[in-house]
Amino acid sequence: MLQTFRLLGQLSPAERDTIVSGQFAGDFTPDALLDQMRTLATFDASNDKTRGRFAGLIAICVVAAIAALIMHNIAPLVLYALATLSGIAAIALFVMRRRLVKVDISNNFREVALPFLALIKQDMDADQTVTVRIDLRSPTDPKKRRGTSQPYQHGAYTKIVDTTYSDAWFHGSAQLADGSKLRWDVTDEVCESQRTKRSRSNKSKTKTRHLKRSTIAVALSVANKVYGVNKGLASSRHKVAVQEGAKRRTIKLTRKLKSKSLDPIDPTVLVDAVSSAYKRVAAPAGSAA
Amino acid sequence: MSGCQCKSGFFALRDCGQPPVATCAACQRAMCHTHSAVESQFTQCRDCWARDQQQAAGADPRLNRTNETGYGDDWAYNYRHRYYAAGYSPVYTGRHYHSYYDQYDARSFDKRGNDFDDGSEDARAGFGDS
Repeated sequence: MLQTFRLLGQLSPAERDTIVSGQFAGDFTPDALLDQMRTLATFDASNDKTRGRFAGLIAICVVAAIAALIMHNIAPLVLYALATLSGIAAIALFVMRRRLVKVDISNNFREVALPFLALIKQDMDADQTVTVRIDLRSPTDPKKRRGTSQPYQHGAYTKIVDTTYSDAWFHGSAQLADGSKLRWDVTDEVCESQRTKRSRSNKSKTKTRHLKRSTIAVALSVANKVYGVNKGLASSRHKVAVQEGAKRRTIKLTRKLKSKSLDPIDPTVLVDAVSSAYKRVAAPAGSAA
Repeated sequence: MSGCQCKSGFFALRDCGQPPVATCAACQRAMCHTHSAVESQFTQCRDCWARDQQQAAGADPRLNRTNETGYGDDWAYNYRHRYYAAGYSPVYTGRHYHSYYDQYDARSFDKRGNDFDDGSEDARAGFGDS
């Protein structure tokens, strides 16, 4: 647990600023980009684990404090002391956890962006640059809120309030070693639905449900001198368009996914989108073909 | 081809050609430092190491989410092998054919009228300026 605070202390001022600003953006060589991302990802993985452990410890401390207060008649002095210590520990852990929550990074960063860019690196020369803009904030960050519905009723629910968020969290472009240009965009539209209903005992209970629609857009621009493009290849998963140009053709693919959780998308979806674009290019004229 | 005989890239394969530092113990291809698998103590190329790893772990074409923050080059080659094995045929933009990649069904790996690099000789020898 202390390692997380040690890692936080080891972050450079620029890395801390990046986390606080919630934006990881710039032009990088592939190695420089991945080095910086790995540092943040290592910290974030440790942060997530520590916050989970803190939450468990806070629950234990609160239960211990309440149990000690209930059973104080058995040994008042000892149990009052135990309740006090448990209460203090719970407050201290809560404060430390809050500090870590403030520097939390969206799991999209290390579970989707990092592995995807580690693969893109393979198709780049060491001196080429990749431009990325990654939003590090949670998909339901207040700044991403687009609107809140008026409360309404539906079925057993006496009050439903829907809040929508737009999270354009991953954008990038790269010049690849084969002369192609790759651009990608991932945008999540999130609907957070707070549903309240009355139980049989007439207590009011509220549940929060999420519906996420992810749009993955990829554009691969290939030089006409290098590649041909097979325009007739259909795709059951992607919406495909080919834009003709005098020097380059651009293959554009879009895929939409629905999910009932805020968990990151499977990064394979993004890899598949790019590979689907490459499936449409014909073998280069000057290669071994 | 006198350089590294491994192929770089993920979506499109290309020749490496860097100066070789060793020979892969498994496939006998010349490999540069970049294409030597760190986890094999630099005795195997990254391709052979990835194939060995897949045989040990079983085929799983999805990304390994337990690899939380590493995603180094060994991981990328491991994933590349699994992804190709799951059905993706990479396009090849290089000029030095090698039969090692036949199993991936790489597009444009036909041998017609071009260099054939089987690792035994420099396929372009005799055609350069003297």
